Amino acid sequence: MFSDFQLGLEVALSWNGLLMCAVGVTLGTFIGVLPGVGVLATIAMLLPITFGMEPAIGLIMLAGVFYGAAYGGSTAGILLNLPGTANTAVTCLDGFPLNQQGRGAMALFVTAIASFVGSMFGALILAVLSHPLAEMARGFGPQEYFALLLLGIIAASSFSSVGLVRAIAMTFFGILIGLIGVDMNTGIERFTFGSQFLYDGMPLVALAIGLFGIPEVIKNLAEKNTPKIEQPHLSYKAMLPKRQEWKRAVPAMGRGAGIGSILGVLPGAGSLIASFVSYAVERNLSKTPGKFGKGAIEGISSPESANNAAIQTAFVPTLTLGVPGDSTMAIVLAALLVHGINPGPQFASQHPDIFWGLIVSFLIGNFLLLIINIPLIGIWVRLLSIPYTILFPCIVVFSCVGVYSVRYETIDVLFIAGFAALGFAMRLFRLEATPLLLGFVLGPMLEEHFRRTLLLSRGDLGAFVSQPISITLYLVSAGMVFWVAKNALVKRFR
Amino acid sequence: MDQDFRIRRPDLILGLALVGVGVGAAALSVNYDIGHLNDIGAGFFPLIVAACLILCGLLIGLFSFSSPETTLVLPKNGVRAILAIFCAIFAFSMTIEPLGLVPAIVLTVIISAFGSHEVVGKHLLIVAIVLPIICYLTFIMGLDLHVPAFQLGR
Repeated sequence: MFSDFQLGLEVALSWNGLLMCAVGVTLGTFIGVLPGVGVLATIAMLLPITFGMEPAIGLIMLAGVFYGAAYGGSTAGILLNLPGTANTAVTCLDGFPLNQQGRGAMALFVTAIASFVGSMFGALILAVLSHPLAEMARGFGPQEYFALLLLGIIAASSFSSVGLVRAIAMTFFGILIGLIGVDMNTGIERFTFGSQFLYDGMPLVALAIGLFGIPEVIKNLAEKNTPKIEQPHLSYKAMLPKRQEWKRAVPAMGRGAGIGSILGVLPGAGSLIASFVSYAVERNLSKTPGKFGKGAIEGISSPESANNAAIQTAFVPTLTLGVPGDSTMAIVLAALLVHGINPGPQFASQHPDIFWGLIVSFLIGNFLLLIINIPLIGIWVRLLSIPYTILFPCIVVFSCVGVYSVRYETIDVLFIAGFAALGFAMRLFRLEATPLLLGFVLGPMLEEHFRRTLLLSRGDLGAFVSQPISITLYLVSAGMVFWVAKNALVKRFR
Repeated sequence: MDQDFRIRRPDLILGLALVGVGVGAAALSVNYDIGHLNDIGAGFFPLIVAACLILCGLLIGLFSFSSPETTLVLPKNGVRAILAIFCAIFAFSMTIEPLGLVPAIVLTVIISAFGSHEVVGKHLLIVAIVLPIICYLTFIMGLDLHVPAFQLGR
């Protein structure tokens, strides 16, 4: 194994390896900052370029874009409440309030550190445990997935500050929106109202930007006061958290990294569920859960670390089982297949140069990302001292261009307006957009595993509670609901 | 319009709205094939979700009677902001393909600027000139977005 590692060092530290790693992560950081401009689209565009490279080098670059974007992704979310992905919506929960308190630079600094910690931990797990983790992922059947997705949804609803029922109602509403489009299994169009633009479902980016970003703009304009963000101090000292905050942020990063590394292995929603679950865990562990949603530092450091750890371990099923977790990973897989390399359980031993080269490049890439991102914080935060009359038209334009760039449909731009109306109404009626977004993303997966469970058990509903793992997951979910309901009742009747 | 909009008993309205959405979704789901437990159809899962949404709506509606009455206020500036932003988004979607990226951005900037209670001419001018350039460099040059910068009709 040591000689394999040495081979990996040689590949990653070669002139080409270093250069492509740097190109990948730099590109990724900037792509990540722009909401909407997808990692998927970027990697897809870069794929043909990698055909001419050695497979290991090409993969190093594609992977760099992928995890680099996760670093940059939280920037627009924290500073402007414009989450480009579902994961970033979790970081917005506490990151945006922190920014409103004039501590955006600190929040960005903490997310950079948390991303670094999570990524490094994830990469190490990938190096050491890829084989047993792949076995675990293989052991997860549809029952377990269904229970896990349900846990993710319940966890997201239980930390809502507007009440469990309101949050769960929004989750169900989100699931219904997520089911719009052609049903993959039967080919029946659902909730499309005959519109061909809805065949592929609602576009995620339009939904995320419409629900979070635009209502924020409208709210600021309606309140007649352009948001008073305290003039940010740009010294490195202002960027650093206080000693007390370090004490809360660092253990949270550790817990997030652990949760993310495990959940990231599961194909599909690994990193998303990891973000939500780690947030719920922090809130439940906290002595002051009331601070969450108002700028709790644990609320950004743990999900960011979890998210990035999950992105690293997401390479486990892709490389060792040949099962890509999402569409981005599918392109990484395609890059390998083009070179005639078949991922599988023997991948690490058959192609040590690629496997270990990739892992070493992860370690290098994450250092590079830290070096790139910390100086950039000053630039991003300075953008906020621009007067709001200049800033908000830019937000509107970036939202429109970002959404349009995903699939070149003008109707998607109109969907932003539709979701903005919904988002604004939801704010008025004290509803949160985060559970809706989660339901939207997880809904179709939930249905898929629900269907598969019943198919495999020939219609026996008992199958849902026949496995110890799924029973445990249900018990945890039930415990969360019970705990929240108890607290709500105590409050009401006191 | 010199008065703010007020909505009384928002939770009751919310509950009813959720029940309405749930009933609508359920009515549509019934039309898709429900199937059997051992091979569920396209309508099975949406029907369950719709039923749960109806339940939540009922709960929120019922709780609204036991909690103190609240009133919801929509500030009148909000209406102006909403109209301007929506018109701006609409204008972008209408002009991006026939006219190209630069005119679409200029138009979006100008219309959205009227959403603010103060329109600062100097700021508007700066954004309308600088933003199209930035977007051109980022999206068309940098990210290879397949949209013409300028175009006359299509």
